Amino acid sequence: MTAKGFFTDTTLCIGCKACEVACKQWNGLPGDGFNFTGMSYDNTAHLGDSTWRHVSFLERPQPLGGTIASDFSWLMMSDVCKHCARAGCLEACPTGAITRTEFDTVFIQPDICNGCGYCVSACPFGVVDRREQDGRAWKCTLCYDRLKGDLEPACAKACPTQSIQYGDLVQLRIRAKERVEDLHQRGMGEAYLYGEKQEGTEGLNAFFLLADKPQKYNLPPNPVVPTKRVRSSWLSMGVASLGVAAMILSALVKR
Amino acid sequence: MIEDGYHGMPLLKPPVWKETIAVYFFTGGLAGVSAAVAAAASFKGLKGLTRYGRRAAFAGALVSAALLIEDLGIRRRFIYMLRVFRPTSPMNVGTWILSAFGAASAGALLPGVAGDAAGVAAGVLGLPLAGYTGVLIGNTAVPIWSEGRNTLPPLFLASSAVSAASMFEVIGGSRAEQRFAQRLAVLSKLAELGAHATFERSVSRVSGALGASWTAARWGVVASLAISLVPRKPRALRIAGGCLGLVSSLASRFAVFRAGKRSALDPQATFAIQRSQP
Repeated sequence: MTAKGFFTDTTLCIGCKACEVACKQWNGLPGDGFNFTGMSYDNTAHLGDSTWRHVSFLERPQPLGGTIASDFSWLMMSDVCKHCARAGCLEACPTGAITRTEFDTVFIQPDICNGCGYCVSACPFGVVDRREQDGRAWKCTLCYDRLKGDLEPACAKACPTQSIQYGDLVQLRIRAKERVEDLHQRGMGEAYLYGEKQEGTEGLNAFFLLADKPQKYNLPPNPVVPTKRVRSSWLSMGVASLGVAAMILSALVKR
Repeated sequence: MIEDGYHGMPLLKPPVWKETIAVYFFTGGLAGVSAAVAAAASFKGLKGLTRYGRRAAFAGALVSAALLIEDLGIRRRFIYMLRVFRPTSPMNVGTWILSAFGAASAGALLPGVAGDAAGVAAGVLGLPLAGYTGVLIGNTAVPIWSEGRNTLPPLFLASSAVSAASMFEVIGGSRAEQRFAQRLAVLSKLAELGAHATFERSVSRVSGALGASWTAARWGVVASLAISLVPRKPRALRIAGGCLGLVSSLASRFAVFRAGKRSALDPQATFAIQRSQP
């Protein structure tokens, strides 16, 4: 199987939230409640245990290059689990519940997860969360079940503007680069790819085309998979253990 | 100037762990260093230290396991922790350490050579048991924990040594044993104060998450150190100093635990530690 992923082109997003609805419907996810956040048109607020697509809305009092001259612009982005090439949740998972599938996506096996919650804190994107009702961790599966049936994920299927594109990662990357070049030529100099290459995660299998700083979309500017730096922690623990052993022995020596 | 961020929303999910986990950091550490002390004392023929150290190790292991299982989303699946060995996951490694420690500390209650051998094994496992929790939380995306990934393990080990030494101060025993407890208490309390300072320096970019309990914990250690330093003190004062040491050690873990929750909810902290990364 070739590696699959999402290319989410935020410049095409119209904020319709069809992806959110399609995801909920296909995956049979519980509702989020009837909330009014007051944050633009975003009443979903964040990804979570039962929200695997989330459309964020930015109302900016500034122009967007290559569009009709105006001192105001809209940015919308459908956020999702990034399916990191090196996944923090997967490496942190103590039970082996989180696995890498044949499609190179990251999947939490609900029949194994015991709800320890480590993946929740290990995700540098704040994607994974533990569901109160059943005590397990949940996130986007990249529609593992649909992929097995040779169908595209529900969100990509439902997206009316092809802002969410699913496919072979290699092809998506080529297409994304062409799209950025195209946008630059049309005057949208701000456009760039987020996560197509990323040192700390070794690349995202669900990457994005953005038109503002990552922070504006609530994305970390330079995320690092926590377990990448675990060796120095173990080393410092080893040294400190020897220190405590030395303290005990020196306290035992008769003076 | 508008700050970076999305409507002021948190970027990360706060840790889902309940405060039972902060208590576990304490009980696991106390059990671990108690076992190490008991192992060392068994060679010196200090019977009281050996006996009480081993009992504390076993009791601590039992309580620790209970606290950990209590916090799981699905408690009956606790054993799934041991269905794989995964070196990349400090939690998995830690569960194996705790399991082996639990078995060894139970064996250490046996009489004779078998008990002594198991006691040594428990003592050797006890130190990583006291320290791995620092590795565990240090390797998360939580800004203040992540910044302290190399300073948390020494802090937790020093704090564990304080709790064990303080427990032995409270227990008392023969004159030699009391002298030992006092010496270890002084050394470990100094070490914890040093570890406090290095931790604070390592998290300076996001130290706003450290609350009043952090400062309180440090002054508790200072006060109990002062009491430990008093030579030939009355019994009541010795016990009071020990109790203060135990409470301070617990307070240190709570302070670090709560700071992590606060830190995760602050998107600016996440941005701050990612701005100037190597």
